[in-house]
Amino acid sequence: MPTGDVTRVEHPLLAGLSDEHMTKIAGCAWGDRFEEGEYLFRVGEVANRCFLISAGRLSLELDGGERGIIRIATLQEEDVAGFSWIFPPHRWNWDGRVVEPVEATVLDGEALRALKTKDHDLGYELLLRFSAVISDRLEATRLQLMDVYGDHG
Amino acid sequence: MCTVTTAEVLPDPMLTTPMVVMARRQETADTFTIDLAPPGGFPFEPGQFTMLYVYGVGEVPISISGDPARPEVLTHTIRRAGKVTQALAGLKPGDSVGVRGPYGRGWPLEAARDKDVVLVGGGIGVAPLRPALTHIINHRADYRLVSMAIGFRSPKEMLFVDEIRQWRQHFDLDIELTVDAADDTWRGSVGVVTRLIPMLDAGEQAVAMVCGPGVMMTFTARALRDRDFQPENIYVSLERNMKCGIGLCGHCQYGPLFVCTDGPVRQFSEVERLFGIREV
Ligand SMILES: Cc1cc2nc3c(=O)[nH]c(=O)nc-3n(C[C@H](O)[C@H](O)[C@H](O)COP(=O)(O)OP(=O)(O)OC[C@H]3O[C@@H](n4cnc5c(N)ncnc54)[C@H](O)[C@@H]3O)c2cc1C
Ligand code: FES
Repeated sequence: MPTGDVTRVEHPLLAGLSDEHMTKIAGCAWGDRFEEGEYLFRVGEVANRCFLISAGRLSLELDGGERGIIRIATLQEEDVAGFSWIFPPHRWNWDGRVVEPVEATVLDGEALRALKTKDHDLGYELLLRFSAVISDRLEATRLQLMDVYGDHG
Repeated sequence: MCTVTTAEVLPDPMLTTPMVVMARRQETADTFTIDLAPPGGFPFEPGQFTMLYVYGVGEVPISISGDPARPEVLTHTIRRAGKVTQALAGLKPGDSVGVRGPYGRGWPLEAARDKDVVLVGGGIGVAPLRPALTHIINHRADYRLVSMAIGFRSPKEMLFVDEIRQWRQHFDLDIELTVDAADDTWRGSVGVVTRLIPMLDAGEQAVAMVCGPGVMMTFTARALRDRDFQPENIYVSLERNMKCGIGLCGHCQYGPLFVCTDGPVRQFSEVERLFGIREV
């Protein structure tokens, strides 16, 4: 994936978006690559980025004190890291650490917020798509909590 | 004239054959694999099970987890759940166990020929799928794209660790592995096994074989349907308490089915309705 400015964002999250909306989003997006061990974000920091992953592996984790590092999920190709930019107080709830070099389109959260306030149709499209991501993540988390491999039957 | 009844001619189907434990491997804290030496060999189809009898304790159904091309070894992978599996856990090489079987309908390996195949296993559910994957590896040219998604609760609870590593080295197999929870020493994926399904290499006509606890199979089948898999191409392995294992006692009844003879492997479309019902 090329790094730097982009004219189109190729990621399932934005599939089917109109050319006009795509151009607006590409205006606040750039391609980037992150190396193993790098943190894309740290818990508590201001969340003003969103990462549309096209390659590599990103671990969402938390320092559990005496329990050590707790890994909550791994994100990879076609996944989206970051929806905290949408909701106040715009803070990351997890650390995002690269476990295999990540290539991603980075979206500027602040610019996106401004865009969706100005263009409600685009705002609707974005919220619909991010809601689907959040709902998927919620279902996966529920299954993790249910400990689905624990019992027979 | 001499009349001979059927009961006099046929061997008693409830009779067990004593088999000696050849080897025992501890897989995880509560799961172990035992190899038995069947006198005269023990041919079976992947997905079938046996009734294992611990003398003086009781009998339980356990899937065969070994290589179908090696009938001279009968392998089972067992998780300690209660009385009988606890007694099985105590067996050492040289001890003897009673075996009946093989029983039941196995995985649809014939129907899957010349098609893409997806295997999805969770926890102890990986064990009954192991003979299916071994068969596919032994007859690789008979199948198209082959992938497997494997989920465990944590790295400590992974079964067949070395073998999974070997499977992942096959260039013509796509083996994806994930755990529900891990610390930072784990470099693999974290998340439920259903999250792997969108990534597997398979077309819409693929045949899927799914094994694990009921909740996991329901969500897996749903994720496969989201990928446009045909409902009749999704197969699951059912679990029910059993007594006879041969369709006589009704103990394993699941709706209209006897799991021991009509299953354990069934098309998900046939049993989907029953999955959501508390008592069937
Ligand atoms: C076709 C089939 C294949 C199986 N294959 C394997 C296998 O490969 N490896 C393996 O470890 N286990 C397998 N099982 C499950 C195994 O048979 C049970 O764990 C065993 O019967 C438990 O017996 P127990 O005396 O140790 O425990 P019990 O003292 O009888 O029970 C302990 C607990 O487990 C529950 N339980 C027992 N059996 C079942 C069951 N079948 N379904 C749901 N809950 C149950 C009981 O309700 C109780 O809560 C299989 C079951 C079936 C039906
Ligand atoms: S266990 Fe007796 S009928 Fe199935």
